[in-house]
Amino acid sequence: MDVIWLLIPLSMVLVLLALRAFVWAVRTRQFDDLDREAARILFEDPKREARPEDMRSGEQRHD
Amino acid sequence: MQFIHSAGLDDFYRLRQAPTGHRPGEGIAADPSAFADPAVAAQYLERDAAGVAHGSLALDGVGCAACAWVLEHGLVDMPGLRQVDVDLASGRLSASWEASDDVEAARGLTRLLSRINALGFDAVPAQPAHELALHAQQRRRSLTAIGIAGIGAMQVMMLAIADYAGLFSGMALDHRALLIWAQMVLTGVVVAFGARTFFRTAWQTLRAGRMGIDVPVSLAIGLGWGVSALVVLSGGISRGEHVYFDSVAMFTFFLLLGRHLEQSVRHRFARADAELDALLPAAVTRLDSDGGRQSVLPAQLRAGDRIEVPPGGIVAADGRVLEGLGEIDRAALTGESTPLPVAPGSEVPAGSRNGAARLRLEVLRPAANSALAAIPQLLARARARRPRSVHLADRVAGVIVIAVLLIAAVTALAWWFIDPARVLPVTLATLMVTCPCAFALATPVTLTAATLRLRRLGILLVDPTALERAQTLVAACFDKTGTLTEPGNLRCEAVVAGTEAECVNMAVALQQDVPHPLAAAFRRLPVSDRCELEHHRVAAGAGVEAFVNGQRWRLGRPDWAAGGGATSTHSDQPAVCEDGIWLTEAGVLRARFRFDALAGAGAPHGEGLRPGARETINRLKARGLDTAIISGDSSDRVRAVAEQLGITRWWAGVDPASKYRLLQETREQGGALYVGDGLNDAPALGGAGVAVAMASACDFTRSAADVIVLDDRLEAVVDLLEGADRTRRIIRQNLLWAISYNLLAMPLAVTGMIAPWAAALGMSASSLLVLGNAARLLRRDHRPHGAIAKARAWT
Repeated sequence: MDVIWLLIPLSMVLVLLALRAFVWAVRTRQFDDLDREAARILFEDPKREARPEDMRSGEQRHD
Repeated sequence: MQFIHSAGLDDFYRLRQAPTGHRPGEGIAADPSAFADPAVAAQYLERDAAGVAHGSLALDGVGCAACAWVLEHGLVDMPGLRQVDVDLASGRLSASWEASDDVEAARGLTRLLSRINALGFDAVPAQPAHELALHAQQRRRSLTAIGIAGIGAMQVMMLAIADYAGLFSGMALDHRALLIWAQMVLTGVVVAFGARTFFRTAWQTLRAGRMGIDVPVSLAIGLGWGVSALVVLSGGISRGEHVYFDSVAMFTFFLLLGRHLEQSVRHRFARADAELDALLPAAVTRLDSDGGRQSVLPAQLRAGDRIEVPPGGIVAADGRVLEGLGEIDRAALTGESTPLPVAPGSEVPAGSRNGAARLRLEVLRPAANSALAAIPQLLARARARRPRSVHLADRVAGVIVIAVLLIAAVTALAWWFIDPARVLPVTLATLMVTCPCAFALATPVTLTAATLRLRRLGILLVDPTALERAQTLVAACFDKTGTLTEPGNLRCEAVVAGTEAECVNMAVALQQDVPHPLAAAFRRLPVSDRCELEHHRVAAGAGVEAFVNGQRWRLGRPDWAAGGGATSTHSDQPAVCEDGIWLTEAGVLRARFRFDALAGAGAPHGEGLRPGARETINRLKARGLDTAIISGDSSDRVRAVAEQLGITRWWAGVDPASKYRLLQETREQGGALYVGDGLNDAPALGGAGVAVAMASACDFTRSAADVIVLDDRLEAVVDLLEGADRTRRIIRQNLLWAISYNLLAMPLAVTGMIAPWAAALGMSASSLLVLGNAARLLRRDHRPHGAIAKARAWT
């Protein structure tokens, strides 16, 4: 059971890293607007016209 | 409590003379000097003729009644200050000060801002963009705290379970020490970062010499961690003593979660100014004296300017009609859906929607002085004057905290004489047993559960303290239009020739694409086929006409529809008259359309009782509440509705300010519930004891409400009151239990008879009991309802 001397400190380091990542995500406004980001994929990129080959590949995937 | 108060006053004087706590750079508060420029400041201020400037500030770091108290009392001696009010619910401070010109007004604003900073709070003049940024920052802060507490608590729980398992199956002492040390570090992180907000508010509260629920919360968290850490550091692990890190971490997490829920609902409905601006058009067509047209901002309009409002456009400023016969729709303002006919000479309010005609108006007053613009100011003042409701828990909190500390001190002293070796363990056990964990949880957890329960019933609780205010209510007042009534349904009657379906199809086709509320009522009719029309045109104030196969069809006022002649010049003719709306083919009557009117004399047109209105009124009466209608509508219409519902007290033709005053007057008897939906109801909602808005209300009105009925179901008002009764009962049970548990266990702990494991078990059990009791509110009732999905969509 001596391995817990390694594993518990290791788990704590991981938790602290996870917390650090979470705080980073909040600070960089990743959680500010959850509704809009979820819907973003549904909107076309306004700068690029839909090309015929894109549409064809989309259809193929549906089949 | 008396000595706390006197201590508070001392503190207040100290505070005033030696302001501390200013944290420059923290928060997003603007540098006060940025508002020294009169031109900049003027955007945020309004100055009245009496030489008084009014300003509204968004506050950060103001979380409790005590902070509001500190602010108000810390500012009160500012030279020239007339009045200062802090509105906790919206995090706003409204102030007025003497200022003869803009320069002086700006100087007052900068002085006010620096003072608030010196008191340890952040403030910015209220403007939508700033305020939203402030909210986003608060949200990020609370999300960070929840994340840290949540992740930390899970990890601590995991380690604690391993520790408990070890109690039964045996564990090496050094392994147990490792587990506990790990718990201590992780809980330390949770306490330091997650619970910071409680400590901060508690400190601000104490500094003001007041008590709030955050003081016992901080005490519980601080004691829980501190006592456990002392046990660890003094070698308690080897003596088999107990630690409470898991309880502390979970406790912090639960409380933060409840606060976050409350805050996010509040923020969602606090975007008042932004929404109100959206009610006005971005640009207006101004007609110059030389015949030119110019597109200007509504703010640039001056009294005497002439503007043109296109069909379907929004009127930007209060004005008088110069040219044009038409109708205006005031639905956004009053909830009134029947349009008002206008002719040269009629006055039209800003925010109303033009009908089908092109109107030319003379601006009577600048947009900023319109009746529409006055409503938010009226509301802001109404809300700031609202008495602060203090939770029962807040009132008891001080006694509890002092009792805990006193008992611990006496115990330590007593044991010092009895057996110095046992001072530390016994004092720690006493502190743990008397630790007000369950007490601090009792109110917030119950309110969170009540909020969730009501949301399931389609009721969104914006301000949970409304549940406690509901206790003293003496009356329930309703707005009429859009609250007790809804737009009526059209009926096709007396089909003179042809089938009903044909006539309905034609009528709907005629009303297609017509920007008029009446047309909207037609479009709700069921259509079986589409009709092809030619020369479709709208005759202002009369109706619509079109040609089908060379035949002229008309739908509108009977005299116009039947007569072949030109548009009538009667301006005072209402759009819907007693004879209904006629559909004619070449002047021959085909069908008549009529609204399902209320039965009885003086029945309003196009207005039906909302389903459940009668039942709601009866149930409110059964609860012993006075019922009343306070409406801006004409008296015969209000009387008709009142008679239908058996309401004996009603007021008609009441303007927003008088609505507010009427409700304000009931306050001394215990306040009144007010249910409304129009923009003109907003100030009344601010003055009500419990303010309820229907979901169909505009955002601005909703922002004034404590409670929002999501599916426009009027019976929700009764559900709300019943929910409030249950919530209050459970809060009282919880507080009683928490206090009696502490009182019962205390003598055992003081005399050193309680084992550490029993103290830990007792504390956890007590907290769990409080949680479980609150969870009773969440028990599902059998209530068929579509409100759940809707409620989710809202939060």
